[in-house]
Amino acid sequence: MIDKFLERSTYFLFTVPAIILYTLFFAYAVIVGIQYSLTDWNGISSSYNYVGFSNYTELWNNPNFRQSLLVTGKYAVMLVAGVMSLSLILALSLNSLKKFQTFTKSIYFLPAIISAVTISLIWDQVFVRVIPPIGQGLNIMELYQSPLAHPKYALIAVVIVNIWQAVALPTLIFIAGLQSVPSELYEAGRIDGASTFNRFRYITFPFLIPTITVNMVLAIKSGITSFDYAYALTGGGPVKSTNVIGIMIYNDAFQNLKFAMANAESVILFIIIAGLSFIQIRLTRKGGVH
Amino acid sequence: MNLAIRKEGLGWRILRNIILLIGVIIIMGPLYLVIVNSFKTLEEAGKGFFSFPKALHFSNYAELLSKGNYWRVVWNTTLITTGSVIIVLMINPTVAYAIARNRHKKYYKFLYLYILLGLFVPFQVIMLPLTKIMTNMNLLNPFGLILLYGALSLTRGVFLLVNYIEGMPTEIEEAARIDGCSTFKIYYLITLRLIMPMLVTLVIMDSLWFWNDFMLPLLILNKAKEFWTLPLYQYNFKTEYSFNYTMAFTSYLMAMLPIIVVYAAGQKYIIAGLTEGAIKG
Amino acid sequence: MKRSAKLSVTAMLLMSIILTACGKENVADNGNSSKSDVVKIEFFQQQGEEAIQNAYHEIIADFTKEYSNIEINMNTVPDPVKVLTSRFATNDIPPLFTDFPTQLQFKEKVKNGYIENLSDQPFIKEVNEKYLDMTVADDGGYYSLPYARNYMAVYYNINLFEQNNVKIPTTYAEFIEACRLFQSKGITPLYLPLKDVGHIFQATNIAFAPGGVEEMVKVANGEGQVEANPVFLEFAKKLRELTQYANKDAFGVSAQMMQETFANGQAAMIISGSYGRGNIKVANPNLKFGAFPLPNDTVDTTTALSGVNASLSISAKAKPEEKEAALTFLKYIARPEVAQKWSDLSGEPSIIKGTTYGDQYLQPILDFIDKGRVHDWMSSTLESAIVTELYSTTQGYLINNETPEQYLKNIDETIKLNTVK
Repeated sequence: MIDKFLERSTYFLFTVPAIILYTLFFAYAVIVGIQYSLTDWNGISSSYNYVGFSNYTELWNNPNFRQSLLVTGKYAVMLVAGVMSLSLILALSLNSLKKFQTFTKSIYFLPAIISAVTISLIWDQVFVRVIPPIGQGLNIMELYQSPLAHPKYALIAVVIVNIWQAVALPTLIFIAGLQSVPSELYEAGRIDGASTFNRFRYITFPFLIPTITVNMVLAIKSGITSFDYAYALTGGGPVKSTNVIGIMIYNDAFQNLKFAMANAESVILFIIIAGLSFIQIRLTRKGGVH
Repeated sequence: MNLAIRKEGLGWRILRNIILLIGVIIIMGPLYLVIVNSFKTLEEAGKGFFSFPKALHFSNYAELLSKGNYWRVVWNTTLITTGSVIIVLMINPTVAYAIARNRHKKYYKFLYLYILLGLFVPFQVIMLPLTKIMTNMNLLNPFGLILLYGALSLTRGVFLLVNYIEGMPTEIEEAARIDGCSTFKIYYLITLRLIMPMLVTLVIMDSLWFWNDFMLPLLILNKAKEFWTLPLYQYNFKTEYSFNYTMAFTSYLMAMLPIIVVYAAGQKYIIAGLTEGAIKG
Repeated sequence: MKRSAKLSVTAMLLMSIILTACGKENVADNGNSSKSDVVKIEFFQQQGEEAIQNAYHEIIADFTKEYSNIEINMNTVPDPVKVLTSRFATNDIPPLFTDFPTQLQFKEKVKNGYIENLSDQPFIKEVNEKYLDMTVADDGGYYSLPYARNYMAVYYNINLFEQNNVKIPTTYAEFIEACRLFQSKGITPLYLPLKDVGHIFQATNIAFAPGGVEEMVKVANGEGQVEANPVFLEFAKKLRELTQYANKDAFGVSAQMMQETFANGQAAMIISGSYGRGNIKVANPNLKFGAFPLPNDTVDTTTALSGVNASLSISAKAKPEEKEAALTFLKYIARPEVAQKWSDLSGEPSIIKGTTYGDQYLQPILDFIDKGRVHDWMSSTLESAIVTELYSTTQGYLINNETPEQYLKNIDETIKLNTVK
């Protein structure tokens, strides 16, 4: 009798511990956070008032916020493009290596082990001590100073540093995805005389669509919520050219006594990410191999 | 026909090797700087950041290892990472499996959406409310942090696993079910083995996250130095107006060592896990 | 089946070990009651610099010898501002902590009753009045014990000055003359860290635009404007002139790099805060360097930026015995001989009366601060949101080569945009 009950509710029981933990430690915090965004709390005072959506309307009219959104958007696009293309190429390359595969994989994996702050610090030194001599030697005016000093190039430089580290894990995910392609199909393709490129296009790619979706969603989220690299490398400068929303939220919450506003900014971020990801998941639902 | 295929293979192989080589240089470059500067004193590093150290100063390492706190911190980080990974393994695959095999039922549809939405929540929204919750529940300690990591791991873990499980053929499971296997047995004996590659990937991703995370330990464990994790310890070398980067680099390298050791030792199992799915036949 | 069962059992065992280990730590923490006569209080101390840590450790050790029933646990964490803010927000305030009493966020905390009023405490009288006055709260009371001061000054390489027969400039004209001289000899006159432009902006604005900060407050309140203000125009022109004598790669240079470069003798002067002294000494213990105030047109119109660096406060929400213990500690460190020891060990200038500062080369700036005009950091009168935005505006002026008039206009816009309603 009990067995039958257990059997029928196995799936349900599987979900119970997760739901408890998730709701208690996450969902509740999100609701409280959203609640704060509807107040005027500055983060310190013992009282606050509910102000409805006025934080949101204020943000709508704030040119700093709009500029920040633009910077974040650019950052995300560059990050996603860079990470997706590089990790795919790397996964294919590493997967097809016969010799030294493990060793090379380990090297490529090293950036993932280091924290963002360390990486930022090192690259900051590289940018400020290595680039100027090279720039002066090759007579490229843009490189006379550290790229982080130029309002035009700082963002690209920060994204490059982010990509340096961010490529490792999606590569791993892609490799896992590549493993799911049955090898017989490749054999068949080879016998049929398909070129390497066509083999990739008609055999590998369809199997990769789920992993591409996954990597893209994670990359988009990472790009839009980015904070660590921009903050450590430039603090949002020069002249706000790298002032991603993550930094704006951080400053508003901990420095400018605008905690509720910071939460409103985060909520808007959330809506953007959710919207983009859902569109993307919908689009790729049609593809894939089932 | 064979020659034509071989030629194409060669072109690809050369291109691939060049790409990989460039990548290795770009990766090892900054790492060289970390290693080289960890052997210098701050004074020497200030004079020559890029040069090879004149003499190998092990003083940074000696100082790091002899400070009693360091080993305590490594132990804390190991404890928290291991504990959290165990919880991750206990709750992520189970929920993902239940969702993946019941996509048509309302409850599971809702559950997937519920968890998926969490993926898009920026950390800043929950930062202070979470701290408040943990304070009120008296969970400002490693145990609390482990539970927290478990809970937070669900968004990414479930997302990855559900996608992976859905891409898996169901014949084996169906065969087992016809044979009279219970759902639990199927999960335990068959599914877990089949999702090994993604599970291993997830464990690697999550353990790196727990090992290197700075924000949550900062907010949850700041009350007592005995609770600190490695990132907190490392960050301490950077104060508002100074950065003892030679010591910091030393500590970064030392923090990487356990991971490298674990990876080297467990390589066989990790590779086996990652490729197990391919041998399905 | 057997193997997986074994695995899950091992996992369970591991979990229980971990949980018990954590449980033990939890208990150990709450065990304040075992020795009921020893009061333990957490001292949340924000400055992590090694010399300062040492100084506090020594003082605390001495204190414990005298008051054996009080145990002070100094707790310094990375990113202390954020952690302290979060502790306040979650009502988990440390009984004893350091903070910045001149900042608006501190005044907010006072307003909400989080901080103990120290106005009637005898040790308040031991503090140098000039700095004590900077820390007065909106209600006229004193809510912290100001302990050390900081300042922005021009640090100069004594050897380079002597070798080139340059004297310490006391007017702006002399200062520019000195820069010109160094430049002609191929020595970088001034090394600017424009990546961390903030403190340079504050130091130069306060030095070159007397009364400027108050003008900006007026703009924030909706009255007046900075545009076309002649004092500000002077400031903008002088700021630009400084960059002409500075390193060409200034925009990529951080404050730390600036201190390092100066320590290596590669620049004659830098504009730095007192906090940089420790770094310079570490990077090059043999460097002879001193400091003087950044001069304006005349000595009388020169203002130095100086404020309170370390200041200790007590939580109003702490238990009575914790407050007692904290007060005892504050009484102790306010003694001149203790403050002197602290100052010697930490290298920071103390503001307790009766202390002297050891470093003779820094006398020019210290004398000036004692006798001349001094202005506090901007965020004691101007909201920090505005101040940090002005950093970007200043960067824009310098990087994009805007005209001084444009710069002033931008300042107005920035202030108006970022005023907290």
